[in-house]
Amino acid sequence: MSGAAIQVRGLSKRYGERTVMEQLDIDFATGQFTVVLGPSGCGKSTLLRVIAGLEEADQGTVSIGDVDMTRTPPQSRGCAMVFQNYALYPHMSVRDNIGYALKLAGLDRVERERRIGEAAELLGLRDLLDRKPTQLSGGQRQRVAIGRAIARRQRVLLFDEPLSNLDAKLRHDMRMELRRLHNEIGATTIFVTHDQMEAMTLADRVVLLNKGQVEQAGTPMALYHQPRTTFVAGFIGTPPMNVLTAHHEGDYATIEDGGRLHVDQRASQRTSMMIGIRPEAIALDAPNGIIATLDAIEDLGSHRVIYVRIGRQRVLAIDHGRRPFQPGETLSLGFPPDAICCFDAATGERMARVAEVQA
Amino acid sequence: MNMVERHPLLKATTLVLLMLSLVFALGPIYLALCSASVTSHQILLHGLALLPGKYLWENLSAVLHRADIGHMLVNSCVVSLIVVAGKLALASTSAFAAVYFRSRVRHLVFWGTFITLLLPLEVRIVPTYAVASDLFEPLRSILTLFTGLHLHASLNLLDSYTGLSLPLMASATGTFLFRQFYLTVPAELSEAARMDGAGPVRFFVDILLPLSKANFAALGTIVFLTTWKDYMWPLVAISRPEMRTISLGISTFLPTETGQPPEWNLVMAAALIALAPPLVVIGLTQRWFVRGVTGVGK
Repeated sequence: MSGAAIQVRGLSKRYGERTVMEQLDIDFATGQFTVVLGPSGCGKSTLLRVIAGLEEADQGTVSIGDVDMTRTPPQSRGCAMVFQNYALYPHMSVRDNIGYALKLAGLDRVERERRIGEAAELLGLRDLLDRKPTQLSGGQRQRVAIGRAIARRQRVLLFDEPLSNLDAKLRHDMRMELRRLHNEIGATTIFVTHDQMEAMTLADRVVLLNKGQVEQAGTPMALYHQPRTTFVAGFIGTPPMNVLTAHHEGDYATIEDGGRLHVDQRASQRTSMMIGIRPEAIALDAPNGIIATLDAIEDLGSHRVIYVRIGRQRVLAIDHGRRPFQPGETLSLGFPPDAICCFDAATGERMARVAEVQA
Repeated sequence: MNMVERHPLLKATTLVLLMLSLVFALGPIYLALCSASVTSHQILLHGLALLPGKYLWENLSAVLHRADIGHMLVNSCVVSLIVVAGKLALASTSAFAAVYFRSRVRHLVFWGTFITLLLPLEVRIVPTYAVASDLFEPLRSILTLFTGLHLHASLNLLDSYTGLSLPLMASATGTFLFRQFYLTVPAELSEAARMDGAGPVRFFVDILLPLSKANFAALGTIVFLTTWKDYMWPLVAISRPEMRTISLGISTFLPTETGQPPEWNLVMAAALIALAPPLVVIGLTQRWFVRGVTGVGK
């Protein structure tokens, strides 16, 4: 089974007075696993439902496989969907749940059984085929919901926060399994979530939505290391990137009560800017570094999360060393130049490095 | 705040209340059973019997000989089953329309249905009778009023199964029961069905109907019972003896002329016979009925 490319053009959606999205353009490449990520209310579920055809857009078009599907009913779009609450038919056995769409599609009994068997095999549901949904655990129900979607062999698979009702361990297992399934099936997959961890581990490509607009789209690593805005910096990563306000003059950034940093930017006059740095990039014992006061330490065994203050600004750092720390002690933090992201204070957008501009 | 108290006094009160309601429910049936087993003479002398007598079979067979009880039972069964079928079909489909279809007239239709709750058959019995005696009468009046045309068609539904059952069929209570149930069915279920390629009718038949089995049993039982014991409409709509229902049949044992002695033992015996079919219905649907009423049937 191969996937189909999806193009969303000029999509606008309003619920009464509230505008969910305005003139949104997004592409989903054939066979790619795209995670649409964003805080609640950013319009990610609406986007998915418009693509599925469950909701009508006020403006804009949706094409799937180069065919305009804006007015096509959901069952004819070639999409299968997995819902957040599984939405299994309570009175049907697992077998019938998976086979219902196949029956409606007019497949004969033999073919139906074959596809149900394949889906069950793929998801480890072999022994559960005759059970009712109420006799299954949350994780098993989720597998059935996924099985129901993949048995239809559609070109597009849509997931609406499918893991949010599972506990942490199951969620981890399902993430691994979804990735494996995607590699085997190869359908174009759109996965909506508010959990950046799911985005980082599952996606070929992440689309981060904010207030109905694409904040940044790219590989998980691109979003992690080169966030386009402070919003992306603050959304991706646990803990997220530290964003500090500083004064920019010449090619130095001055953090209040902290010290001076050399940045790969040049300002002709004194302006304010934001400095972003990942917690794990901060060195805790750097000579002539930024002066900070240690507030608290969380020891997680594998690493420690260090809470410090630079002047009035809070900063998190991750430390893999063993040196003992005392709350209240003064540290000298090192910010490696290539780990520093500079953001425009007014727009929140990342400024290109001098080196990038020249190249 | 703990609502479910495990206090001995509370438990005792609950028990007493339950016993009392049991006495109220079963007491009349016990009295009927006792009074149906004594002679007419004894009742006229001593009032309703408090202890069972020896003449139950005699009285029952007297009832069966005196009136065509079998035919009346059949009439009642037919009418009740037609009403049950019609009402279930109407209620489930109208509630389906009210919950799952977006339409501008949706609210109008819904509140229109709601308002009919204020007009039970007893209130509108005269116009209902007029319509049943000639189904085309309203149509004719409207036609004449607006076009001046005269339509020469009439259809008398009195003294027929149709006339007996149709007016009892449409009522808002069933629609509401189903509406409440459909509202508890997650919206994702209908969306999943749409994605799976099921149209509205398929969704209704394949998903909603099986899920509302308990509601069907509950409403079906209630409707069967109310139609079975309905006295007013058959009394008005029926004049031919062979169309009489059992609830009318019981009254044939009441004296119609002054001076004729009332035979209460036979009235009670007839009432006992009339009680049997509903008992069977409840026995059959009881398990589903409880689930449907308490809403645990999913």
